[in-house]
Amino acid sequence: MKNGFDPALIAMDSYAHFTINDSTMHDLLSTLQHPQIVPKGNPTCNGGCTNTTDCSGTQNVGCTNTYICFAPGSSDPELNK
Amino acid sequence: MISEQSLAEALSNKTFQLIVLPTEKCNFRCTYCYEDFSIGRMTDRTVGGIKSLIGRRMPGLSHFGLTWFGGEPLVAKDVVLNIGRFAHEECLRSEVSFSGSLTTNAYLLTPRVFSQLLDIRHKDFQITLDGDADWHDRTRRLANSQGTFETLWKHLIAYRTETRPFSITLRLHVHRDNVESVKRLYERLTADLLHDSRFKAFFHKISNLSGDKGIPQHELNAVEYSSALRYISGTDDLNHEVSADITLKDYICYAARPNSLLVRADGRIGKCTVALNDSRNDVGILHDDGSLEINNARIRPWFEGYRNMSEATLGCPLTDLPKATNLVQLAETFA
Repeated sequence: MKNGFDPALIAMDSYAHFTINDSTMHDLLSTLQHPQIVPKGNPTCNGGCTNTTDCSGTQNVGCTNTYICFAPGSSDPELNK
Repeated sequence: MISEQSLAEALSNKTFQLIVLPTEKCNFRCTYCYEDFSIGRMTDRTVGGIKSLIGRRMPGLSHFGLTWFGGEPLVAKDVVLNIGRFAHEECLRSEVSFSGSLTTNAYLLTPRVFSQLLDIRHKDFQITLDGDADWHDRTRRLANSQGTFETLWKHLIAYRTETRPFSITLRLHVHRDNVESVKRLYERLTADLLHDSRFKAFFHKISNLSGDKGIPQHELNAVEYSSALRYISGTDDLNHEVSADITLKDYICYAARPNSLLVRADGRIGKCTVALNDSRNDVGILHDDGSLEINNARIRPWFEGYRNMSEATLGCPLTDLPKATNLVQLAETFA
């Protein structure tokens, strides 16, 4: 796990895309975000998500306060709807 | 410790969240409220700007979250339904996952409005109760001072008959003076609602944030609060159906996430829903064409927690934000 990075390396453009000019963080995010972990719109899972970080369901490895659950290895686009 | 998973979620451009305040007016006058209700309903130009931004942001997104806050968002119900419907349809068209959510006092969330929101995939609601009717009606009152509990209870019971999935987090405010009332309420919730997995209770320790004008509410210290929660819930084990702010772990606040922005009713861009009267929260402006003018020097302090991955600062970046004077100097340095 990376220890941290300078927030001055974050910049946001005029349509809310942001860049993080930090190579280690870029590598970490690439590893974590695709393709191993994708958002999963599982209603059961969403039903278990609150504003905490907990999440019920055997497939779920995380949950954000935007009620997203993530399933490792899932690439079914239906799950994202 | 913040997990890599949480970090990836917070720093992903594939996810985008807008927290929108369609009005900063409210039909309630909660005695502890920190808002001043000075900004009214969102203009049509700002509504158009938000829709343009959503449309422009779709390419490359996996998930879009639209969260409504206020004031009371349903005081501007037409704005909520207008933008919400657009976001719902735009995400369908772009094959982007979508979730809509509201933090609402629920007084105007009639069963009909509830159904209209479910139609456009607004399925997550946070509704606050301050205890059973006795305490709730003392502190969560209408602007004309009338109580609100019975109306809210009637609505909650009616939502049960809905067959579609939704999630209602019942935020239960706890302070030293209302423990018995919250316990009575919790017993009612257990009997009537919490057996339905679409309803969840979330305890929150509260103090009076309105300065001198509110009914005094005495904050519980950490030990007292834990003890009160055990007494109210009858359990030591707070799970996901009955959780509390003390159980938050591995949490990065939306204000610390670069992929989350607040749009105020007047088109200002902010990060935090609490610091509405704090100039440090003004980090940009939304233009009518949907483009954002973000002052990166002003938004970066909200990301300070990433410097050393501080769980406390990432959990609430407001607590460690530089003072406004320093921030102005910082912004001038980077301008």
